[in-house]
Amino acid sequence: MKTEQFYSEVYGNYEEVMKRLRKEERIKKYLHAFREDPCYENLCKALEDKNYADAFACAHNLKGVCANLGLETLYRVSDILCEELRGENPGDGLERMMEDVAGEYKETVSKIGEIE
Amino acid sequence: MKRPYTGKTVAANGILIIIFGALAVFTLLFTKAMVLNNMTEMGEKIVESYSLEERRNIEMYESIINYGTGHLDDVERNSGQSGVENWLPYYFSMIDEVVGEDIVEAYAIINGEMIGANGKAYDGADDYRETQWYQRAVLAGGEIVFSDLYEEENHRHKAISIAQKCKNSSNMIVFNIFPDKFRIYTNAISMPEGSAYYMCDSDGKIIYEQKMTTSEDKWGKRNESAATGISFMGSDIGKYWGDLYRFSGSEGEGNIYYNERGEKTIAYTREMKNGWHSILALPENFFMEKWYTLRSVYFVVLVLIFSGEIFTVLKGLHAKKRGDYAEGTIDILQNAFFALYKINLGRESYEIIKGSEDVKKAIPKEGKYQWLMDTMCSMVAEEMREEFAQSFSITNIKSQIAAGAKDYGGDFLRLFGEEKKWFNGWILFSTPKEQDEVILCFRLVDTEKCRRLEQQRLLEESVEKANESVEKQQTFFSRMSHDMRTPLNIIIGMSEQAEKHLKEPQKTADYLKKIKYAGKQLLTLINDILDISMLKQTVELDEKIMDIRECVEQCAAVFGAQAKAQKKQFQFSSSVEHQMVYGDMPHLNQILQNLLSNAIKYTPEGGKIMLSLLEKEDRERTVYCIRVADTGRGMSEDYLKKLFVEYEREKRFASQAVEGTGLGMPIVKTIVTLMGGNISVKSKLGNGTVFDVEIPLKIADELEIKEKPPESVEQAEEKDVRLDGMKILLVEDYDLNRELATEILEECGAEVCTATNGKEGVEQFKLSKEGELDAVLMDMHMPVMDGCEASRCIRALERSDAKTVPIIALTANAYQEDIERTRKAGMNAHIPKPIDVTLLCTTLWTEIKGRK
Repeated sequence: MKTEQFYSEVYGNYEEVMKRLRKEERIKKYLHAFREDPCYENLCKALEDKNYADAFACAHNLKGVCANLGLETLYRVSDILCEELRGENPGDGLERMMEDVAGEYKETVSKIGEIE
Repeated sequence: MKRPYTGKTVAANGILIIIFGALAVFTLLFTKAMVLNNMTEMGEKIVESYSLEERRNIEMYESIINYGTGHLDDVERNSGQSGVENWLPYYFSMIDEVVGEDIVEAYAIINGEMIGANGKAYDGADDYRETQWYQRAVLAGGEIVFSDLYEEENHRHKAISIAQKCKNSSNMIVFNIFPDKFRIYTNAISMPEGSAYYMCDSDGKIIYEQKMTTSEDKWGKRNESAATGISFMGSDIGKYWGDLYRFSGSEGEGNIYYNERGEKTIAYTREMKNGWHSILALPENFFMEKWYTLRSVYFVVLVLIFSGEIFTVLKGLHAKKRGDYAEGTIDILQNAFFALYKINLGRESYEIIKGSEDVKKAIPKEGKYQWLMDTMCSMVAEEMREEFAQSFSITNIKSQIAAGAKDYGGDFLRLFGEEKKWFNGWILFSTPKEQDEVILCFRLVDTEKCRRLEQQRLLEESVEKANESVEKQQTFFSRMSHDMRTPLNIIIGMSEQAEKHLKEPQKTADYLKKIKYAGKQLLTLINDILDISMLKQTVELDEKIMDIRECVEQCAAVFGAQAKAQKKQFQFSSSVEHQMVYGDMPHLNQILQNLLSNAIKYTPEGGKIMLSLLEKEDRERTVYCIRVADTGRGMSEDYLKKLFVEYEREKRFASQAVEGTGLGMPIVKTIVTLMGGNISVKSKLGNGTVFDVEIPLKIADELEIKEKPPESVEQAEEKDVRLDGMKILLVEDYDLNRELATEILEECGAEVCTATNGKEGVEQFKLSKEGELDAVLMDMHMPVMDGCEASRCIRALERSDAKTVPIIALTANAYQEDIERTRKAGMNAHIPKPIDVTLLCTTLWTEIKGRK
């Protein structure tokens, strides 16, 4: 799968990412690095431990890297989760938000694996 | 006005007090002299009286003894010795009959023998020849002699002897008299209490003394203790009293002494022909007590009179002071008021204290109050005349007094020559219930009244504006609740629909599209609200070198494409001589975006949008004119007036569901004003709208233009911004982002050192050499220490580059409040996330070069 197609499939904006990061190789490099990054696992563990401070930091990082890499859908769901965790007093919707993040993350990571 | 008490009156009273004081002292001294004189006269009379009494006594004894010696010569010559022996008892018994028994001890010396009262000779009484009386009597040759006081051997008490030798023989008759027998019981003037009388012999010995010590201790009762030891020596009274009384001096006829108790005593003396002395000692207190009493009474009266006079003088002084004060007050009042009238409420009359020229010409100095009121009313502005007349009518003044008011009045308008001015009329009264007079005063208050009226007008305007603002805000919240709820409801509703149709991708995609649209609409609304809120606070424009034509062209390109897509015509033209200027491009873009988006929004399909940029010289400044015109719906005249008012929207098109927050145009107006420019609008309903924006901008220097970094991606790519030789500290906690930023910076030629949190960043900075680091790229949200805190720590370090090294924030939140927070922390610029290579490099380049 071409990088441009990947962005299309994950509802990203390839032109915008290219404009910012300039090089496709760089984009691909960091997409793969994102796939290996422990940020998501750390988020899951922090939520499992109900350590909302760490969970917020992980969600914040996840949101940041998604923004950098132009992963808009994953960025939006992680942003929602991040805001929920800000103040370390999440509401009832936390689980569902995390489910959204998890679903989107898995799909994104899966599709990253398909990039040539 | 009459002065109740003047300075002359006070001075006259003062002189009277002095004269009265002098008279009082003179009278006192005169009275004392009189008292002392009376005392002397009294003393002299008493001592004379006592002396006379004593002389009578002595003369009685002299007569008896004269008779005895004369008769003894006759008896001896006629009857011889036997006749003498027979006659002597008869003579002695006669003495007892005349002077009383045991008063006199009489005996005779017959032919050398001492014959007693019983007619017999005393045995062994030959030593009489040694006695004083015998020797004096022999020498006297028939004259009566008196002995001094001596102690009589037989009776062992003191006695006086009176002796006379017969003229024709050596026979002699002798009387021994005891001192007590000289005591005076009758005829003499009574002595005052506390006084003493002394009878002294020629040698100064006290024969007897009589004292009036107390009312119970009257005549005849010898005060032994007082008499004991008193001895008058010689004829000088001072010698007599030397032991008991201390001589002090003479006063009047008497001599002044002080007795052993220190009491002042005055002595008066009389010498009798036998050499004895009568001495009267009068205690000064006897007289002086009266004098003291008199003096005390006198003093009391004097003090009362003086007090009264001083009170009168003080009262006068106080009255004078009050008079001065009142006069000063009147002067002040005359200075403060242009007219003062004294009004008598009982007589309903007036008196002009100070009158305005026009009133003085119209009415006499005194007269009926109605005359004054009629004159004043004719001068007061017509619309206030009735109120003036009512306020200062006698009836109203009385009713105000009855109500307990101390003063009252009001402001009125009246003619001063040709000009109308505000004046203040006031009634003053101090003790309204007792006095029948009040003061009516007028003061010019035109300036302050006008100022007060202006202040009141401004206040009313402020209140009105505040009410309007509150009303607008209420309207805004009412609208916002609708505007926010609408997209939120869409989002929620469409989300539910999407959930229900998850298995129908086409429908789900449609719902998601609507959700996205509603989300954007909501975001726009929130952004506008935040923008206007931030702009209302102090926002500093970030003026940098920019290409104004390029800026406008870029907007034209974007909106031109949008217009084309909506089948609308778009036309752009520019005529700019100086395109490089100092300006705030983001805010200029915001102006253009708001105007152009409105133009496209309100222009129907087939309509035309025109954008033009012109440069014109205006005095010393260069002004850039941006015109945005369209052939759209236009605006009503009513709406045009409120176009730049926050939260206002054209209601005429409300039914057509045109999006808008009502904040776009107020935002534009605020930014233009901030830039020192102005905006105008012409519009006609159905005929389109023309916005003209004029912004003064400073033209950039040629040298600085050359240094300016490329700002567009294309330019950046073309010019390939390099950061060669620059060392940058990158502080970022997330590995992936840190690696990405490091890679980009290194590709641009920079040397990068990294830190994973703020605290580590501060330590890295400390470890670097001064000036080694060219810039710090600082993430905002980090564990341990965030970016703002780390920046503050770096700025607080005591090294030369701590204050100057550029610190650039990497922040996902690029809202104005976040930027303000970075600025307050000492950061120089911010780069919004996500990372943009061009923006990152140009920002770093600008900040580093800009400080070198």
